[in-house]
Amino acid sequence: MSTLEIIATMVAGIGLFFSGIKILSNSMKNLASHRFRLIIAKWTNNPFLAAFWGFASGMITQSSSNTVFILVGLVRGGLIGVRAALPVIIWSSVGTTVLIFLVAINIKLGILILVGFSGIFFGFDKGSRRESFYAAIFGISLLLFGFHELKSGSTPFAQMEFIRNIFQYAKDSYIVAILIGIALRFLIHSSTTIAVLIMTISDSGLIGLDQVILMIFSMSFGEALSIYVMSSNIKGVSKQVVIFKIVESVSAATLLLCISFIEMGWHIPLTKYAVSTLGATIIQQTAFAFLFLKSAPVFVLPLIYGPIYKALAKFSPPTVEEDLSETKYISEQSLADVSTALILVENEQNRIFERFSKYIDNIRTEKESESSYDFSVINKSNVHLINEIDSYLKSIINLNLSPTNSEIYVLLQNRQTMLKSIDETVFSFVSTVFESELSNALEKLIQNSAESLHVNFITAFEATKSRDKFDVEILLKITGDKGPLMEKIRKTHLSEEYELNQGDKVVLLYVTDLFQRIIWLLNNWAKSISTVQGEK
Amino acid sequence: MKVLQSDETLVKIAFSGKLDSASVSTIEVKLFALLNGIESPVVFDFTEVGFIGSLGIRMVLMAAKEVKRQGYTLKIENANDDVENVFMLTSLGDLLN
Repeated sequence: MSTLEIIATMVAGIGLFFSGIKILSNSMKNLASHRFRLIIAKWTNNPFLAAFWGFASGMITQSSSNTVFILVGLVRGGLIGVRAALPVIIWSSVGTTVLIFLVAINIKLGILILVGFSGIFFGFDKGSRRESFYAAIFGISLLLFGFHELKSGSTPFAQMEFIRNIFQYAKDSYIVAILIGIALRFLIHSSTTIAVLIMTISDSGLIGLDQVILMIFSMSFGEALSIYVMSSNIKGVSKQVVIFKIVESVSAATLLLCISFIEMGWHIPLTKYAVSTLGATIIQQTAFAFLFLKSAPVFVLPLIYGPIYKALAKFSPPTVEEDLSETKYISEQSLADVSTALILVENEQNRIFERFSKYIDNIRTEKESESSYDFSVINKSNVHLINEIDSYLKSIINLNLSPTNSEIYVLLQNRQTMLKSIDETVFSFVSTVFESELSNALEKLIQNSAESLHVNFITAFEATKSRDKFDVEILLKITGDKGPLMEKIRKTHLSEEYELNQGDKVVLLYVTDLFQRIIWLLNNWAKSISTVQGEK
Repeated sequence: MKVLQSDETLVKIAFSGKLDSASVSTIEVKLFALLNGIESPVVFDFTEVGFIGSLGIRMVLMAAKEVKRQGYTLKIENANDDVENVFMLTSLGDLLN
């Protein structure tokens, strides 16, 4: 492999790796049905199953970093909490040591088959129920394939002449040995590969057991650095998973390096004594040093999960999007009582409805408050919440519904459909206005429309909350048919007097159409409130 | 906000400047105190109003509700084109004189 080929392979690996994470995260959000969530939650809430899952994942993927990024996807999709992910992380590190002992298991064939089949199923699926599942598997396989490619490039990279020369320096200095361990792990992205490399180098007599131990232990600093860089685009709650992995790596490396220095300085038999006793050859001793590094956190960190979890929550609080995406009322527990569950659905729907006026704030010159959110953040969180409510409603239908509850259920389903349509239409309206460069003539019309829409949403929300007859009447009045008015506005603005350019004309037609649709949807919403009122 | 007339035949109130969130929050309480216990129709004079925001429209809506509750009508006079457009877009054209 030429140097250029090595670098290209590593770049391709990084690209596939990131694409895999993105596909996995997105599909996990879609896959996050209540039933699936319950299974995952059951696995991770049981510490033994979580440990097993982590261990198996580390063993199969040959990388604890991989497991961390898979967990990031699961946390982002709301499938598991950060607390439940902690044991999985530390046990996945232990899982990676199995392969060091077996040294040369090649899982490339398995990954290739997985990429192929999951890609075929994903590519040929025409929007079936399993699409998200195929996408998730394809994401995982792409992530593993990317990592494998990265490693494929890393292995010849590690065998290059200058890398071997670097080891010569480590022979005479402990500090150099530590720096080499950090640098190699940062560059090569696979602790297993480096451990194997150190085994080979030590076996050739280039370095001794002291250097082996220091290099192996300091690798975790490089791992922490590498994960920190790779996770730069991750924020909020899912970042907590990454930070925990960094804490795990740094604490293991610090603890074992301190122990090693005590042993070297005061000649107290500790880690070096243990690995030289357990391993007959330098290769076996390297494997045991690697096992010590990867299993040390298992004995220390579980004792302080509570304080760590609190610190993580403080250090990387939820992002605005995560905050807005979180359900406030509906939960698994509330499914126990159908009537309560239906009330909670209505409250959750009202939360989404309240945000519609915040969308409009993005294009208004006169904002009522500074606490407005970016429209794309509102859209993402609303879509997430709508999906959550959909899943919850699916769970409710499986319960025994009384005739009254069945009627309420149908009403809530209708509201759900309206919420989806309103959300999509308002988002299109705001994003179109936001992204268009408007002439003064059109700007005026858009501003007036924005103020009008804002008052419509505020009035609709008040009427939804109060169900006051007069509020509903006002809402029905202000959401009356806008067809003739919009037609008049279009004709006037398209006349020569306004001198709109072609771009403005397109925006005018599209935006007035959306405005008309939003008002029509709000009118339907108003009618749904009066239906509820009538039944009461 | 200025009361131009308040007797048994008409209550006429003039507004000026911008009717945005800031101004609405300062005049709202005073306005509704004035509208409480009226004995005649109400007219809002918008001659000097240059801009009306959503909370301004909402204030007018609530005022119309209050006036209607007492059995009278509310009308708006002398609104400029911009303000008139916002009222038209909000299906409140019938409030305009």
